[in-house]
Amino acid sequence: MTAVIPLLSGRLRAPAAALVCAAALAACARSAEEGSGAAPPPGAASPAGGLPETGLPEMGPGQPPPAEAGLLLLGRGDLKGAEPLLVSARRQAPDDARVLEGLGALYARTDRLRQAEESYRAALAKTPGSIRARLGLAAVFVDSGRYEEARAALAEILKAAPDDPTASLKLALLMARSGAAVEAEAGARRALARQPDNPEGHYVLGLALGESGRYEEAVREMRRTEELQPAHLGALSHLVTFSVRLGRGDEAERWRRAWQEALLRQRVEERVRDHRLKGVEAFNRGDFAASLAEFDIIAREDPDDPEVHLHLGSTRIALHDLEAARAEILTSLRLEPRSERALVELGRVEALQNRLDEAIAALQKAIAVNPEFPEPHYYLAGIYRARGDASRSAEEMARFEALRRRSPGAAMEVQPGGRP
Amino acid sequence: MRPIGSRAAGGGVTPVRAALCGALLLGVSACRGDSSPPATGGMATAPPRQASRADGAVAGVPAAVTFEDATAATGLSFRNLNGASGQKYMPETLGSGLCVFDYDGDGLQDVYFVQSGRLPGYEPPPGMPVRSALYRNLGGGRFEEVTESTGVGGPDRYGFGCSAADVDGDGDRDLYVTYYGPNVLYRNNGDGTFADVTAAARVGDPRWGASAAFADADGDGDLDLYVANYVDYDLRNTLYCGENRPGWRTVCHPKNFDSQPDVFYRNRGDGTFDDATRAAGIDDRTGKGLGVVWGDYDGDGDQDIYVANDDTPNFLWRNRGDGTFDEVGQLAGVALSEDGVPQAGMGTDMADYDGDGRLDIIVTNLAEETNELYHNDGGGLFSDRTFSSGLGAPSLLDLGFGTFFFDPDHDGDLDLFVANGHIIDNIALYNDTITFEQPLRLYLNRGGGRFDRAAPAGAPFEGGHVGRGAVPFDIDDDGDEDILVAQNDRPALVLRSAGPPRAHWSSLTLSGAPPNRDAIGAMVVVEAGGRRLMRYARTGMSYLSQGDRRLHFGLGETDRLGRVVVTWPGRRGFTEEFADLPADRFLTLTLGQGKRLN
Repeated sequence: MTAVIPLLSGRLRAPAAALVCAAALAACARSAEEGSGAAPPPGAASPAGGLPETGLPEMGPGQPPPAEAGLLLLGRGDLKGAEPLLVSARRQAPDDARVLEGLGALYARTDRLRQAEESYRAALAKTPGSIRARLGLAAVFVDSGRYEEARAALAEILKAAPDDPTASLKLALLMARSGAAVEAEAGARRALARQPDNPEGHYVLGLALGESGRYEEAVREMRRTEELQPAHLGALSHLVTFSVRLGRGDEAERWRRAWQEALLRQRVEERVRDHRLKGVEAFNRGDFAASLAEFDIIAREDPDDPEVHLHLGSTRIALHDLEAARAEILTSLRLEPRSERALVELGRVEALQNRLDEAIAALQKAIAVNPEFPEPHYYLAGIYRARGDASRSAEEMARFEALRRRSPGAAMEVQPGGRP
Repeated sequence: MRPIGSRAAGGGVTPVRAALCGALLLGVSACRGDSSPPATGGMATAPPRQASRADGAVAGVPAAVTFEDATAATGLSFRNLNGASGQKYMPETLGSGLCVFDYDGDGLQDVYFVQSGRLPGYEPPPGMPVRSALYRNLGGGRFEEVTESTGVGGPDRYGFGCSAADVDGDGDRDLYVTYYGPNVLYRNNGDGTFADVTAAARVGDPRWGASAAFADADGDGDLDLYVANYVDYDLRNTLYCGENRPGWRTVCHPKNFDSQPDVFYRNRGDGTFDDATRAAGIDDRTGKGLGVVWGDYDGDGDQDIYVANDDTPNFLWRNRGDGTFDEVGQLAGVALSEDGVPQAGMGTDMADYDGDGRLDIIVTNLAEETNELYHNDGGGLFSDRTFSSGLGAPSLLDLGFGTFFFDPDHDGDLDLFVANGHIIDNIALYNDTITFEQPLRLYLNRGGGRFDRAAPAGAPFEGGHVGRGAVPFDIDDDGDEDILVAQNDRPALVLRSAGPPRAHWSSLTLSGAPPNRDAIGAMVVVEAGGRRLMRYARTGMSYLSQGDRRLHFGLGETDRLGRVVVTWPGRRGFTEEFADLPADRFLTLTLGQGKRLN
């Protein structure tokens, strides 16, 4: 997955890991939850002592040590939050295999496969029997096209743990892809014997049967996949083509429609794009009522989209409805705690409500999230100026201008010569 | 103190707007067979510049082919200027293409490079004209630029792809160029100059055109035109994508933009066209088209269309036989990845890579996806052989654009070339495994439906490039296929096959009936040495490009073509046989001069 490029998730979208993790094996994310896969790492601490649900972790007395905190955040999917903690934990305890595995998972999920490989290998050097680390390493090999090495890594796991369903399934998928249908079928059946309701097991079995030309059986397996995991794009897509091969045109057409609907459900952006474009366009021409209406539609369609709540917050600010703006921005931050843009907007709304200490805190969090982001410095300059602290205001303005010079195409285009 | 978040005076972009915009919208004399009279059995034959086989080439097991960088020696000095100014406009990373065609009818294939162009805030390098360029083939692998005298430098507009064909049946080849903005049709005046006839021909589609290709869709003899359009992108209102850190801005994913429908123009017979998109049934508004190739995938005698779409399912437009179409991509199994997901289709080609007599399809895709190989199983159905062919895993870290099947080692089967190069110039900030500049790739056909990625086949394959359009082209008329690659914001590349041909070969030029004199759509099957080798005549292919129209066949040890069967295009198309032809020659096969089979 590519969590590091906002708005670019498709371009640098789920890598071939998609083939293994998302579509077929679902090993990474799901097994993470089940505790048998590559991520998240083991040993995540309970949140006793607590990390904040929103905002940045504020380490201190009563907070878990970096390893536990990092693993906890990783488990929550907060990769940006987890990384510095895990890196720090590795420095403190270079032999902690949990941390090494955690870093491997984190790097793999942020497109740093070389670092992921290094971390997993380091973990395996400490705990050669770790199935989790070896599965992670196998996933890295798959994602970087090193299929022979992936097969070897999986075979190693199965030598030690012949019934490991994840390794069986991953290896079966690789076999199905390479046209080794018999081996693929056997592997999938082995995995299903342990996990009969694993949709990916049925999917890989369906692939293997399709590869053998046993389309009736393949259809059965794909249907079972779809029952267990509705909107499984791979299963639906193969149901289309297998139905065509069986001469069942109507069925194929029905599955094709189901595939289309499933894709649309998964690609929320396809559904809301027009509203987003219209909303922004309306905002930029100053028609805030219109932009509010468009963003409201998106929020109803996809209430978990942090972006739209941020946009609603910005629109509410423009409409001087500051309490509502604050609520929207906080919702955005609950969904995406490390959004520097949302933190800046929070700072702005706090400042507009004359809560300057809170504004400063929010803006400083934005800087902590992204030290190279110019905008918070701009607003901090304004706040300090408002407080009569000309010296700090000038310092912040100078930081803003320095960062702007390095980033002429930055997201926020505060008028370069402007003053807060 | 000005209130925080209020509109800035003087028209500056305010922070609050930016907050939204940041998130969303900021934002041969010997080879001149074309016009030569038929000599033997309807064929014009001529010796090639270098027809002798390489001593030491192992008969039947050709040595590994290598290529050398011959860019400077050819005089093809074109350099793409992508107009980038730091704003990461989407067009800047996607161009451009090139076309190989004989514009002056001298029998030598000339080369046209489409220039990308200016974007807001861009200053071109001093003294460098921002225009497309036409190079005249002087023979011997040397070219001279004739852009000025021919008048095809183009408008000051952002260019992408091209396709060339005789659209008005007057015996010379005209040129169509796609732009981000209205496309342009240049009519060949027949005197070495061109005229912009876009308005009169009614083919100036104003949307973002990518690849274009001509073929006779309805069998009436003239050439119709398909143009793949990409997305609805507004340079005045662009997005900011990437992290909010200096140097981390990137181009945006097409998912942020609406698709633009493709357009199909039906030739009225005189070189003017009707927009017949809807009438032809080409009415799908979901595709973000980049690559196009025509071909008769189902063997029913008409021309079908395959479109590589970015981020959306690929199209396969099945011709009903009358120039109207049904979209059957998903039903046929050529729309998606093996796991049912739309990929980032870029370039495409059709060819029979496994010698079963049916056209297969290759599509290049984004890094972290694979280049997809769809095997034609017959009956209108394909199976995805990406991984089982060996093409899948080795392409995972490459971002492929131009691609084509060809036979550089003359062993009789088709190998595969892919021009790679990422779209995100700062990808290294986001990914520690994928690079911006990427190697060109040659995949060797090992038989049995398997490919192996070749070790670097010469110096040009060793470095990184930003490949876009790419075509096969026997640039020095020595009988083997060389390669032209257009890069993004870099000089074009000429990869010349080193040394003389490694085994026997044949290069066939088709001479059909007017108005389709180049016999676009004709299918040719060569029977030689117990093998049946299939090629067909087409225009646009690969990515934004068009290659050498001469049909090239590697013959291995075989020094004669036992039988050549040509199925000519058009409603009155028929099949002819040309028998017992010599190898290692450029031959012209003329309609009506062979033995009629049906």
